[in-house]
Amino acid sequence: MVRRAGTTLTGLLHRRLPAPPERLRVGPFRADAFTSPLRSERLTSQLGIALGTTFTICFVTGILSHGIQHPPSWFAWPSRPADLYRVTQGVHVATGIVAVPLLLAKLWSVYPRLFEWPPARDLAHALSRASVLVLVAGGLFELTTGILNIARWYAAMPFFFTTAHHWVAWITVGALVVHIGVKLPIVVRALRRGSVAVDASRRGLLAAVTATAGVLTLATVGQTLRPLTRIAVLAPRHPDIGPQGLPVNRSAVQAKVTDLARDPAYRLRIDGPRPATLTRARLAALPQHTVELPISCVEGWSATGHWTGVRVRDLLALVGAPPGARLRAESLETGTSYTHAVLPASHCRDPLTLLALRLNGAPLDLDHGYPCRIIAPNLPGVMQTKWVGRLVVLP
Amino acid sequence: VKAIRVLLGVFGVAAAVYGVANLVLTGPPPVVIGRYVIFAAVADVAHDLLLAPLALVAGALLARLAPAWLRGVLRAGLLVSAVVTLVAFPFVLHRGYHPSNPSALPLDYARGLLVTLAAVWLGTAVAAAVRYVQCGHGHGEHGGAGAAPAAGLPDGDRRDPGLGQGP
Repeated sequence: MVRRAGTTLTGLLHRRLPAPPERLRVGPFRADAFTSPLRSERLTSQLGIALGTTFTICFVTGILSHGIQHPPSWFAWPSRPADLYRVTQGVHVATGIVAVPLLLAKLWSVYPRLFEWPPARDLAHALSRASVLVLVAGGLFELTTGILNIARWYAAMPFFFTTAHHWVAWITVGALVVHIGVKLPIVVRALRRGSVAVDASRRGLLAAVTATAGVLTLATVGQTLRPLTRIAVLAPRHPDIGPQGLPVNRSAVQAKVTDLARDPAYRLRIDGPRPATLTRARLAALPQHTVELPISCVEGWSATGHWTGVRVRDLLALVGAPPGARLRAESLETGTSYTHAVLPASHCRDPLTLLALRLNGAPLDLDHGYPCRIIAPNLPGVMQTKWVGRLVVLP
Repeated sequence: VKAIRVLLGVFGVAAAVYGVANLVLTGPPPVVIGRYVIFAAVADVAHDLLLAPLALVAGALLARLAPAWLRGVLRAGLLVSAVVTLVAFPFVLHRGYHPSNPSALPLDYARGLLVTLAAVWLGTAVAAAVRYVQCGHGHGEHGGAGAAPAAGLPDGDRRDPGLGQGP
């Protein structure tokens, strides 16, 4: 019975589908439409391995970033090393940029397959092509939305970037893993067979693709890698440009907090076992500490500042928070999903985590979160709440 | 190998189903998911029917117009230029700029693109000079300049009968 069902399924998958009439086989569908001797299984395999590697790196670092921001109960993100997130997210964005020439070259190398004849030999063939369509469309979707996002061109995306980029990544990587399973024998065969006659040309193409990736990297990666900042002529950020010499992701005007943040009646509320209400002067009178920490943006840039303020663990002690407590920092800003963030217990304990009042020797600029902001090691900038109005101790 | 392939298939389908299920169950309303599909389809069609054919036409022109010794270097220069321009395009347009936040997109990206392209073509010219010295006129496929020979994206070695047919 089982065997018969299996046979039926295999039979169904491989039963020939009727081919379209031959007279429709025109233009790119002709057998001799594509003639470049550069295309080969070996070239496609090598590009595929490189591209698959970049997508894997992007997926792992991306899921990590998502996990840090929306931690499942089993996930804990440490507060050290302080620069870890700056590296993982810098790698995420830089690798995504490198993937652009790889994807384009890979698609060129298999472009004739788009015009295969007949378009579907059997059901198995049709399914395989459908999975490639998901992979190609998903890959283009991820790279396009990623670049639009670091270019901050949100209007070009008629949806919320983060949700789309995250879930389409799962679908794309799923299709990628299926694709690897389908093509594995071809890749093994192509790489075992060794070089062919046009090897110099193939190496030349690979060199050109590598050069493209290199130029793109040199022109952008200085947004997080300081030694290359001077030549980063296409970087979305410059680590030295901004109020107090540090870039800003969202200005006070954009967040519509200008009046609230400047209000002389501003008080910080801390909700805990012994709630407290503090003026900014009172906060400044508490023991102050200075730390050197980066702002590491989800957009892949990072810049180091010298922050001065009150240790979060001192504030927790002030309101009698139990050991192991977490803290929700709420902004004066309202109406978006980025108005509050929960600091994990490890970050609350860390002496580097501050409620900062000053940056690089001067009171915080309004755009950096005046009257006070959270600054913590090894966290995305989006979780380092600015214009803090309320702190809530969570058990 | 067969077992590995089956495992890959199972994991891949599971990941994709996980993505689709979460999108449908916890994600935005169907209208918005429809926009994902449209966006992906537009990106796909723009590549398949616009970008790729343009590259093929450029390659065919190159094969017809450029001398063989120069072809590979020229292709490489064109490939780098085209992809860099494509990636820089949203920055040059500067649509993400907000006057209240001058530190986001703080540079002149049109200038940045021109500077990058100038550097690319300087490099291309140097590579071409090296090729010229190495191969002299008309014998493009000889010699072994590591980075330069016969590189490039597009189709079109139609006129090089010695190289055989593509897939």
